[in-house]
Amino acid sequence: MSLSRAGSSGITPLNALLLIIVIGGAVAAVFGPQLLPSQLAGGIEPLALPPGAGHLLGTDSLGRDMLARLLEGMRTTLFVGLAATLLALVIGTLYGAAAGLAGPRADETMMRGVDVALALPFMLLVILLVSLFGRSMLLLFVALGLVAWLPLARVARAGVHNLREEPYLEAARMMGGSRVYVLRAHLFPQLGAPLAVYATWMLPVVMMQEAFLSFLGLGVAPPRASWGTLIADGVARIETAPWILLSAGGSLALWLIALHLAGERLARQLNVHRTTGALERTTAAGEPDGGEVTA
Amino acid sequence: MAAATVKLLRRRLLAALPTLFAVITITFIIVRAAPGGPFRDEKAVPEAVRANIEARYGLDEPLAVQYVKFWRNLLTGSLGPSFQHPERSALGVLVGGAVPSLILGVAAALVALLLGLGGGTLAALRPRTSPPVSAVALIALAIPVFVLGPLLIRLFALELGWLPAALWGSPRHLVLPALTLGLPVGGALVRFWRTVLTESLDAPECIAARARGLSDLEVVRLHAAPRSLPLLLNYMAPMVAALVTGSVVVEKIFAVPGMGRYFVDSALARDYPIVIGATLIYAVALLVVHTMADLAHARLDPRLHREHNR
Repeated sequence: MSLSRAGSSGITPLNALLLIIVIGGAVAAVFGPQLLPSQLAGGIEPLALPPGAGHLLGTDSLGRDMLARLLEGMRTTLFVGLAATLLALVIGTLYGAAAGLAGPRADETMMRGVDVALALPFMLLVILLVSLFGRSMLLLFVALGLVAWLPLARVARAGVHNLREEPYLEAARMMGGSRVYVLRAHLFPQLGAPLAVYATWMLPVVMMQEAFLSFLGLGVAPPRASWGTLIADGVARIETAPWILLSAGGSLALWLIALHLAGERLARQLNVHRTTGALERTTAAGEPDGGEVTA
Repeated sequence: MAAATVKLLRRRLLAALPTLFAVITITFIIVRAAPGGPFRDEKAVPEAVRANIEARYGLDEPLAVQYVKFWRNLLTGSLGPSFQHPERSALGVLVGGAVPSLILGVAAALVALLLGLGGGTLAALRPRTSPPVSAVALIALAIPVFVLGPLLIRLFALELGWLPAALWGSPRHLVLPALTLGLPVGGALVRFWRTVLTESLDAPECIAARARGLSDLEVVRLHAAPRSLPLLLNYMAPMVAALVTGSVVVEKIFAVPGMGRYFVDSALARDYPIVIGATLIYAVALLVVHTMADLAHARLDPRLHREHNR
């Protein structure tokens, strides 16, 4: 099922804005915490200060500058999201490509395994993992990555299936190219586009999941911040200090929207068609499904 | 038709068994491999007393024996006693929690379907409304439930005082949690349904229906929507999965006495029977939805049905 839309490309104002939000946010998250260290305001001042001259976004419940905390939180969430997406990309591509190149029986068995795994209430298992084994960033991104690779495997396998009968692949095989050679020289470059698009769609989902786990108190441990722990702080103080929730929640939503639209645009640019993005299919810390992407 | 339905059901059931087996086994392993135990973190009880308690629950036996015993219990329809609530059976605790969870889930699904199908249809029929509708939908789906919920509480409960901020008991208590859980899913559904319906409206029979003078809504109702329904059914399973996971946090925020709220707490308290039981119930619910969607799908699209039964 591929629904094509007439693609517009090039630098439109919206594209530029998206680029600024995505790249600017990432740069700020990576370098911001060094330039703007979050310190305790100290003294006997009221702790949570509203936004003002000294603190652009106010201070959090312990009197730390909210903007600095936000940048720290963004960094954590972005890091976990990127690491998990990368992990999912590696596992998913290898597994999917292996299934696609294997014989029909092995292929069927491997993909049936993916089906079974996708039918599990997977986020619950992730919640279980992190709540039982304690808080650690490593566990967090490994657990999230282990969920996210499943749909990517489907994408990779579908891509291999589409390409398998192409004449140039047949030619490569006839000339004596091994499976690994065909995979490396011909398939991976072709799979790049759909996988890149899917990974762009996956990233906001994984980041949302990280925030979700941290919100539940299962993610990173204080004093480290994540988007989710900041939101949890804001929720606890919604009556007295609403700016904490507004800045943390608002920035997360803005960033997710920008990433999602950027993914859509990338899909159009690379001519990858899919009915909907991953974020739409999962939403609010849901589980990724195995939607099809065709190149 | 009936025979085919039975065949499909049997096939789904056979496929469900390994899934359920995997769910139970994986959960059992995760739960038991974790450090700590149900009676470790409480007051400093003498070693002998703790050993006594653990023996009472059979926790002193080898894991393999416990695993077999767990299965034996399960096949007789029991999960054993809850560790946190010794006076109640784990199944009793879970069934008590499943009712509010189910009510909340169904209400949220209705919210999502109403908004999603309404907004999506509007955007598909009136292309000029599509950009704003899609934008609103995107915002709705990008705001995490754990931000949306507190904001709704602040607005409708604290500022306006129209609705209760939390707890459970009357239909009024249902409104805010159902909205919180349903809105993001509804936003996703708007965008999905708009794309699918737009595609369907270009189909020859829809153009013909329009040429015969049917109104837009009639075209949708009689031709475009039935044509898109199988795709919508495919969408149901991930939607329900999103509702299930979302309910964990929504029930926590709104203090709904459902299964989701106890899920994290039980995991932290190492209440093994509750954790495994809750995961199992969610897995069964997911499988049931998958199967129902499949059955409806087969009804709507007999081609697919034949293909499946090759």
